[in-house]
Amino acid sequence: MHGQSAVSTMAVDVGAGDRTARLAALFDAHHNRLFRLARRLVRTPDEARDLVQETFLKAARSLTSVPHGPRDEEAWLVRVLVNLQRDHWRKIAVRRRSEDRLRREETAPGSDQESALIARTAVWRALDMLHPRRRAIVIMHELEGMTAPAIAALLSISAITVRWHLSRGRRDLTRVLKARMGETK
Amino acid sequence: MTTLQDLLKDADPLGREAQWTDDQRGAIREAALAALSPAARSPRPGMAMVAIAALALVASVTIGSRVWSHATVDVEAAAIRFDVRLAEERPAEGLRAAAVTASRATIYIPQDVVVSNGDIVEAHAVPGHASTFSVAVTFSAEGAAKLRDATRRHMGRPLAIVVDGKVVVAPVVRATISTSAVIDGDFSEAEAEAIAAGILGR
Repeated sequence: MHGQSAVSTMAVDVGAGDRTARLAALFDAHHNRLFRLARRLVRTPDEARDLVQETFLKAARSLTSVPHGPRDEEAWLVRVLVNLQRDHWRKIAVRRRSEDRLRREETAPGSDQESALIARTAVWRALDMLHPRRRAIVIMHELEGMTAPAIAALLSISAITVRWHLSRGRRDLTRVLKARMGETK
Repeated sequence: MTTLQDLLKDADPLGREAQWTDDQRGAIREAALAALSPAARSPRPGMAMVAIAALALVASVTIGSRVWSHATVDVEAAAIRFDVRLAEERPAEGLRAAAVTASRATIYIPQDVVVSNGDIVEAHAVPGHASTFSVAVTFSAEGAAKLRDATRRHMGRPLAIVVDGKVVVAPVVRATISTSAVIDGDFSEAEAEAIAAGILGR
């Protein structure tokens, strides 16, 4: 006998109406959560909306890869969104670093209000230097209040890896913030 | 003392900005739904083939004794019983445990079948990944309706693909299944043809 055979996939035909309903349901259930995460991963609301749109376009192209159930759907979409942002981050990282250097050199603190805005901006811009996955982990933990095991489950990585990213992320942010806040005072 | 968390919360743009408007939300939703259109035009006209399960599984499918050519099929010896059942991952009343050949997992299957050989109007070997072959089956209108209704109510739960009484693979239903399916495996062309012919009772 011919022994081992790998049964790897089962392909089926799915009606267009089913796909539309599925994607619409995915969007309605998860777009707000994705937007909140996206907004905290990028600099502007427009970039956040673009990132959410790209995520759902990816879902449209790979609809059958999206698992069922709210938690699994969310995890899939979040991973796609973070990966898309990682790709953007790689492309723009060099340009942004040089822009930031110029901006810091041009920035002169004015009123208290302006100083506060500059300080907030400095804090938020410090996140730009983190790899998007690490940034997402820091945000989920510090701002969304998620535990390391919950983040690990969402991103399909180990809790140890999450804690490592948190530790490195905090260390990197603290270092950058100390330097930047010093510049804005 | 100001913590990093305090700094991040203070700087969080979500605390100060409006989120998106209904128009912005609607535009993104429409763009995503519009992107579905190309998928509906699959390379195989009239049949949008999409994988519902990418199971990296290895099965020991015993079909060697059933390999034959179309020209010399012995109806009695050749027929392969094929059926699809709605399975569960946990035991329940009326279900029996069955080992999945592909994954060696255990699922629980009912006596009732959704579709079986009689619901299939066409089955043939088709090229699969690399140099392997798969078995494409097309269900009758009645079979397709049964499968569509059943899988619609069974999202996120496994189907049992039963060949000669053995559950060869148990993909999780991720989309409604209707008129056709492809059992995609590392079959040789002869094996795939044998299964296809056997399913049709040839």
